[in-house]
Amino acid sequence: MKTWAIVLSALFATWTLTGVTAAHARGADDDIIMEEDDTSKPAEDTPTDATDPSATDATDPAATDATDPAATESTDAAAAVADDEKSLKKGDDEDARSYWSDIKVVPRKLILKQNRVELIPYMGVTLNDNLIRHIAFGGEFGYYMSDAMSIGVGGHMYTKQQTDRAYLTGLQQRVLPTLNQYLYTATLNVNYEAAYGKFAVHNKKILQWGIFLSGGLGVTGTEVIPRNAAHEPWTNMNITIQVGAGFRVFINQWLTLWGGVRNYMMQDKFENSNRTQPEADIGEKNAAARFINNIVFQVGVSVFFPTSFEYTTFK
Amino acid sequence: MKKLLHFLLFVSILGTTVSAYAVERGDPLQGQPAVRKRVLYLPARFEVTPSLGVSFLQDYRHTFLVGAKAEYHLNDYLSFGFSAHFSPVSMNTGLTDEIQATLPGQLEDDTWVNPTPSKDAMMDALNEIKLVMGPHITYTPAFGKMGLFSTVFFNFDVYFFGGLGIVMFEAGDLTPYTDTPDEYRQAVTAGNAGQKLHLLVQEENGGMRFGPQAGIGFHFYLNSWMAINAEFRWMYIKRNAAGFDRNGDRVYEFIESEGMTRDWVIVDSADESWENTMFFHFGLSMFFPQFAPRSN
Repeated sequence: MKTWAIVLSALFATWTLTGVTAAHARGADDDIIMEEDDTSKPAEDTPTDATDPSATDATDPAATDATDPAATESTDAAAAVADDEKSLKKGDDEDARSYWSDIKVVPRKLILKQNRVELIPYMGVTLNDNLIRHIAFGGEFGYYMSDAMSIGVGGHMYTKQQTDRAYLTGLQQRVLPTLNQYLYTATLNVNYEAAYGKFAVHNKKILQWGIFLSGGLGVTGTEVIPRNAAHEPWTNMNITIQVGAGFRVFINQWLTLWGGVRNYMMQDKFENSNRTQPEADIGEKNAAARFINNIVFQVGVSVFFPTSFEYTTFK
Repeated sequence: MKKLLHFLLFVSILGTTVSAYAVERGDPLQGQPAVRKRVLYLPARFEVTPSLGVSFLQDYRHTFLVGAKAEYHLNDYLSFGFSAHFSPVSMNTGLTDEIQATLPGQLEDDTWVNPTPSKDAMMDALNEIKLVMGPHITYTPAFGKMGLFSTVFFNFDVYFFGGLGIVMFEAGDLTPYTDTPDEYRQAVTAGNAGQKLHLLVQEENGGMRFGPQAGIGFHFYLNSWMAINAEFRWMYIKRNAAGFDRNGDRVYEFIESEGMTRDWVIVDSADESWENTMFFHFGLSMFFPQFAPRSN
């Protein structure tokens, strides 16, 4: 008799507890999933002022990322501050602006880079020579002094492909072009991440990305392609200034997709158009110097080491 | 027996509770949109984008473009439109300057032996892009926001498009520098033959050309109805940019007064080849109606 009483009490407690926990779960969901609230109604009822910063401001608290783990808590915060915003709107606009001035556009970065090293294997293609195209294979190694700035060393080797135009120039205009092929480039680089943001793919998956600026100094090796096959080629080593920009899309805490366009500028030496002597040293002595912009489009992946890190600040 | 019953009861309670909680709780973010309360810049809006453009990686002439794009956005990710850009001005590429610097100022005396074109002939033979246009379908898979130097913040989206590319070329004109077999016969008879290229231009390298086009673009939103638009457009077009022969086809004519057979190189559409024709466009997109609602 006593046992059956315990059984009945326990079952009752089970059902009750189940209901309570489920209700609690629903309540928690309600907190997280923002249902349509009053903040949307003015926006739908009244046309948005073209000069209204709240219509486009990327710091808009109403635009919250529900599936972004880093932003989950900020959703709660956003719900709270949405109410605050209502009250602020009644008050002084200037106060409201100062209230938001310290809110970061991205709540939490997917990758913190300070004191980490980055290894970037990449391949590239030269863009701005109509007569000869180079495919580049190389890599870059960088150390982040801060979350935005890194120093490093990078370099690549080239393989050449002469284009149809190089052949056609001889055929159509009866001119043999003067060409050098690139052999290698190596530079010391400083990179600065100038812009940072995130985007949603089909409003389902959020990816974070950044834009970096790059500058550097190094050398580029080139080799003359003689117009006359009987003439000897020679090689040049040119001081090179590098400027460029690129982007990266963050995949996880240690991997990004990486791409950029870099201009390797140098003073190169070409075969003189009046060359008659086959010897390389004579050809080099009479070489024609010209300033070259070697623009290279590069794509690759970047890997950060150590592969994990811990956030040290609040979300 | 009683202990066993109590144990089974405990397990039953625990199992029921945990499973029920798991079913009810689940992942609260499952299936939810990534971003809520966002400004819907695109759905059911009409976009007009006046823009400037410049060609990219052209062999002989850089082309500058002025024009516009009109587009209707069916929903958040699909739209269709038409763009048209006119080229009022162009300039030489580095390759053109180099070739021109090497060429002689006038045609050689014996063009049968040395048919090198003069500077003017080389320049006049080039065709130039005058109009770039075409319909396209656009797919906008991603949108986002970005901070520039942590001070300026934008909403943006990225889109891909593809469609039919139409390019109108202004033909080069080699007429002053060439002769036909009949003209050559007359010149030989008159004793003033020479300093003409023996090219038989049967088809000009101008007119409309059609091919596929594709590209990628960005909108950087300034407010709910204006955005800076940056676009890269690729077209694959058949053309003969240099205006000379490339396949070596020719006609042979017996010149009675010389008692020998001469050959004229044919310049026609067979000398065209498919070329990558690329452009950058920068414009200001305006969306209508100006009001952009927010999502739930």
